[in-house]
Amino acid sequence: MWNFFDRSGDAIEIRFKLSEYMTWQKWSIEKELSPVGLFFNADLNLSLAHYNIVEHFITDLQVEGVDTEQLTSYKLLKSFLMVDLTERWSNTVQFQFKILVYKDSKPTDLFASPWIQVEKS
Amino acid sequence: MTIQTTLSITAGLIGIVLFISSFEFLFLGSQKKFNSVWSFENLKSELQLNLPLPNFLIRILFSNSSFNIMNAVMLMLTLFLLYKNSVVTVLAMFIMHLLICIRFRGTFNGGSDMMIVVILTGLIISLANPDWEKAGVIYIAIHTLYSYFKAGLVKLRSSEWRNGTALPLLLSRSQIGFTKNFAEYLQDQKPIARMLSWAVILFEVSTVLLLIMPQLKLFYFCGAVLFHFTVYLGYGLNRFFWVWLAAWPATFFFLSTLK
Repeated sequence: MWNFFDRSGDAIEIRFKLSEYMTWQKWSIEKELSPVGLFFNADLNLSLAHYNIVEHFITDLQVEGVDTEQLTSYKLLKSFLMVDLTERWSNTVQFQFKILVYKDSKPTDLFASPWIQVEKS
Repeated sequence: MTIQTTLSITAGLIGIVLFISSFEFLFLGSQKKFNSVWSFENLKSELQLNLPLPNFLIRILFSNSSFNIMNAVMLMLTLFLLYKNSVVTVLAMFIMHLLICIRFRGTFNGGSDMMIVVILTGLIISLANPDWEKAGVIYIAIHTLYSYFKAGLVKLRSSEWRNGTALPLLLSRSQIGFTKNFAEYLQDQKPIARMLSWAVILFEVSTVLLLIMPQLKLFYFCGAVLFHFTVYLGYGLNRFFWVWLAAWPATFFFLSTLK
């Protein structure tokens, strides 16, 4: 409790591809601070919560022998990326994502998902 | 400042924090990026495994519609709290806030959710019994001072914070464009990064001095407002700003008793 911005830790990056022929693309998000953001900042708070899912997932991955696809953090991350990627590219039918960790500016693959089929609602 | 005024201002400010968060949640409740991510389907296995409640109750409490109802009720309770301080109202807010935190597997908004718990707990203690009024206020104040001190102490122990490399790295992870640009600037301007890092460390660690020099409380309060507003500008953490502001009336009252 009460540890704020104390650990710089390792930088995390998400990459994705929408077809087997596509190269890995960096997933990123950039927001603007709204003038009324001090009183209402739903969009940015949601983005921060999405980022927390990634951090939770990385923490959950540290448990030995864990069934990744059964992890709640994996389900949340998969759902989030599914919604986000289909919002950006409406014809998305499948995707794959991976998580990289930068240690001393060197990227290391931490996790790669299987191909995920998009559930059309 | 009397204890009654302290409690009224604290209740009013925590009411504002919870009004903002409930309003934001109600707005988000209709968005796919929110409700299809934190859906009951995604959360149920963990909730059923960890909560000592029957499955039908878990389904009711953590469904998307319950979440929206809870936030609508919370919104009304915050308005009622502005009208009258009541332990029942604060207790109801506390339970709903805990359920919301469980839904987000801890917290939605990090430390600000923890501070909401602290302030609501302090208010429950103070409002439950007139003899405990001061105890609740002291509880909030101690947590507030400790929150700064603990955060500062961990930074002080970190070589990356001491040499100024942690700050630009942390700022570079913000989702706000100009913060990322500022992070790049700090990466090139190491003496400035080091100076800003030490300003944060010294401000946070030195808050314990208020226990022996309570007359400096106004100075620290201004520093805290500036600090939390800067964090808001850097990361967009609006609730962080308001909830720590809500903790300061109790801190002021407590420090006044130390004279």
